[in-house]
Amino acid sequence: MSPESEDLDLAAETVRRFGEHVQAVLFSGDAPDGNLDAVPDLIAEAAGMDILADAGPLRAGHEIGVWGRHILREGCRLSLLTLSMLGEVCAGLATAVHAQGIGALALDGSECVPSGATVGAGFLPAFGLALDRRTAPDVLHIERDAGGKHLKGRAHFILASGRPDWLVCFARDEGANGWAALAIPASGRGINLEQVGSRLGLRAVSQWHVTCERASVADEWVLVEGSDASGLLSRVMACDWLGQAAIALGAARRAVHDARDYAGGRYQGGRMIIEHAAIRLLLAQAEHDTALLASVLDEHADRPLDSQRPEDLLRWAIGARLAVGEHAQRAVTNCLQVFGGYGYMDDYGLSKRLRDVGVLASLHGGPDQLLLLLEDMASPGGDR
Amino acid sequence: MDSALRQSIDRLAPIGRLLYDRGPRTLWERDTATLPGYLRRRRRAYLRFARTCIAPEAAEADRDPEDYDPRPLLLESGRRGFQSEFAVPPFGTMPLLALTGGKVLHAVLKAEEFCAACGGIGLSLLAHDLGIAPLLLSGHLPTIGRWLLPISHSNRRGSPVLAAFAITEPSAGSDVEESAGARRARVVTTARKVPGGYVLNGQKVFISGARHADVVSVFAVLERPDGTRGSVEADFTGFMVERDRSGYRVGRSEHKLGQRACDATELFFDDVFLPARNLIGTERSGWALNRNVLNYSRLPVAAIGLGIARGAVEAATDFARRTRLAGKPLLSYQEIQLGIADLWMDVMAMRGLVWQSARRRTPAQGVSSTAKAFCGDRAFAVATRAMGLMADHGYLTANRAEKAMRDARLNQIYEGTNQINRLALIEAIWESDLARAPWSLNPNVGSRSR
Repeated sequence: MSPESEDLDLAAETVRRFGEHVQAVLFSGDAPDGNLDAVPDLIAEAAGMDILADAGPLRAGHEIGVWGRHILREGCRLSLLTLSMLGEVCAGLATAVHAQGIGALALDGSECVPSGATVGAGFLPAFGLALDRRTAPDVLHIERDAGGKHLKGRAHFILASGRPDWLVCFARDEGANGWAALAIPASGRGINLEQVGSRLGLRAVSQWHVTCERASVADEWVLVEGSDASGLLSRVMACDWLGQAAIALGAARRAVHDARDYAGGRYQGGRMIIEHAAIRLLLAQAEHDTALLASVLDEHADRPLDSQRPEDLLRWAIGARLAVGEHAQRAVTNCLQVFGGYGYMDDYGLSKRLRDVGVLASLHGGPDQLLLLLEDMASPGGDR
Repeated sequence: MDSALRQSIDRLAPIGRLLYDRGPRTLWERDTATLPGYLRRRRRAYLRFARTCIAPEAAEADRDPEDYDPRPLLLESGRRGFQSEFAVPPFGTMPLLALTGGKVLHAVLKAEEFCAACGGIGLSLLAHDLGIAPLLLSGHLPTIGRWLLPISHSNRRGSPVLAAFAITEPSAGSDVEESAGARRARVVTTARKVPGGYVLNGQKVFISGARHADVVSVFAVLERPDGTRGSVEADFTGFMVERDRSGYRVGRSEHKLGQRACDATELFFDDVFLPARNLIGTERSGWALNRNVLNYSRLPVAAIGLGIARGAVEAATDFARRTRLAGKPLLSYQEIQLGIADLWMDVMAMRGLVWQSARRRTPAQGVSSTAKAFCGDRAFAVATRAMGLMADHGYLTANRAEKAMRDARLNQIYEGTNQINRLALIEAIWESDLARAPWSLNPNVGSRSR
């Protein structure tokens, strides 16, 4: 069942109004990444408007927020639309909204995390992907002894809309025959959070490494185990990549819009620059790249997640994320080129978009890692 | 080289063994070995300076360019003779033998080494060379004697005089870098002849190194004798403007994506009086002078791209060497090796083109533009790919590839956008290779034309 178009229109209108507000609040000053001090308040407003997913079932955001429970029945279209619209305004803030949604999605309907909590999902080893067999020794894992279950190891590059209150961690658990997904309080004993250092872009979202040193795991914190956990991990990773692609699409669309505006008003060589074939080719390529990414994202946007096999979802998501590197990045850099020297300066916002899509092209997996995972799934017996 | 292959080579006949390159030297050393002795020594000197003086300052200069003062490094670079390499001794420190071959070969070696350590600091050191290039290329001995030699002497004595080069204007960037645009360019910086000299008015933007420059070579449209407005092609004229001239004002420095250690600054000229001695060369020769400056400067700019790309490759290689995956170094995985090989291949191709182009006695428009555009595009691609190979670590500042990406992006824009440089290639080969078809795939047509 696909979402009613009136519902989508209504949601899009809400997101559009929020986006205008974000634009006014974040970018009233000169800072190229916006007024980052305003991000917590904006996130709170997104929660108030039910754009942000909520961990608890009592708030509407739990159901209709980005990556809320509705995706199981209605597909990803609303989430992708919301993220691309926010990505047009600020890819970093869009990623913060996305991160909360991914954290909530990873909870898999569990009610062990209170409403209003900031949640981050941790599944990445230091290098590589959680689903890559070679990385298995490097990911978080569960140890069992007389004292119960303990979580050990590190998870990397966890996104969150602020400092996380709870972490949903995917850990190797030989006792549970593979994977386990568990929610742990981020302030718990044995849990150390460390902010990821200075980075290229997406500065409105916070990013963390977590170290677990024999952190005790209460039974009620275990969400799912075994094949259910690996299925959930696939779903979480897929939605993570799809959301990133949607945000990059938004950034690219805005870049095309701004470049077209600029080209229509800038005079050079005796003509408006839009009349030069060099500029028209750059814009046409950018439009084409943006349309391609949009079409990839559109492909299964209306299919309920409950009806998609995890490996199909992953294939779709990998295709979309690869398109970020190939198409969104090229669209934005071509648009920057339209501005000439002005595009390289912070004033026009193109440099920020280039930085942001530069991160999105490698976030939670580089292109080669994604390709190898795709090939791994295509190999006989490779479906997971 | 593995031991089995080494043993097999040992079993070759003596001449066969001689023909087999078994040197353990690095790619850098192998390339250096192809240079004449005086350039081998100079390349090593550039590398030492880059590693010991530039690299340690790169991160801080990128993070906080407002507070970065390039003068200490410029002083040290000048002391080592790197800021006066435009002329041979006793006037400068250009290698004497450079007169017999490519006059910018040492400049491209310098640009690569400096920018492999930091694109921004490298540019700030090289911007001075661009600022004084019009003086030398004017070929006008009084100009050279009045301006170039004193600047050279000061820099070698340890009191650096910094120069910058100013063409770009708010409404005329690429316009003044190719013929078709120049005919219709809206250049606002004008000069008017007055008794004893000229009066300059106008504005320049994005001028590299202008914040700290003591003198600026400025191009303006000289008013015609009948008082009418001149054109770029017929009336462009170069002037030297000293920092303390009344009416000269240094505006804001831009906040830019990369190469941040080198400022890009606005300049304003409000009724700036310049005595006749400040004229560069002769009146109304500026269009040819400007174009030739670009012919010379685009090769070092190509080498800046090459250097930035090499920096990205070195960063990715270093990362792959020290990072472990499932107990093994990343570098031992085939997919990483393939990616790293792609990066090195690009750098080697870029270097081949740049060196080959710079070996010509006189840089030519088509060759320089080709090298500039090719290296600018490849540098951005290499840095982006290096980031991708490092996955999430690629966007972290500490791993250096993201800075290389930001730095490299400028090489597709400045010194003429890469679109303009492509058109410059077409313009350069239009008569010789395109319009009159000197060759044909049809052998009959070819034989008749001969």
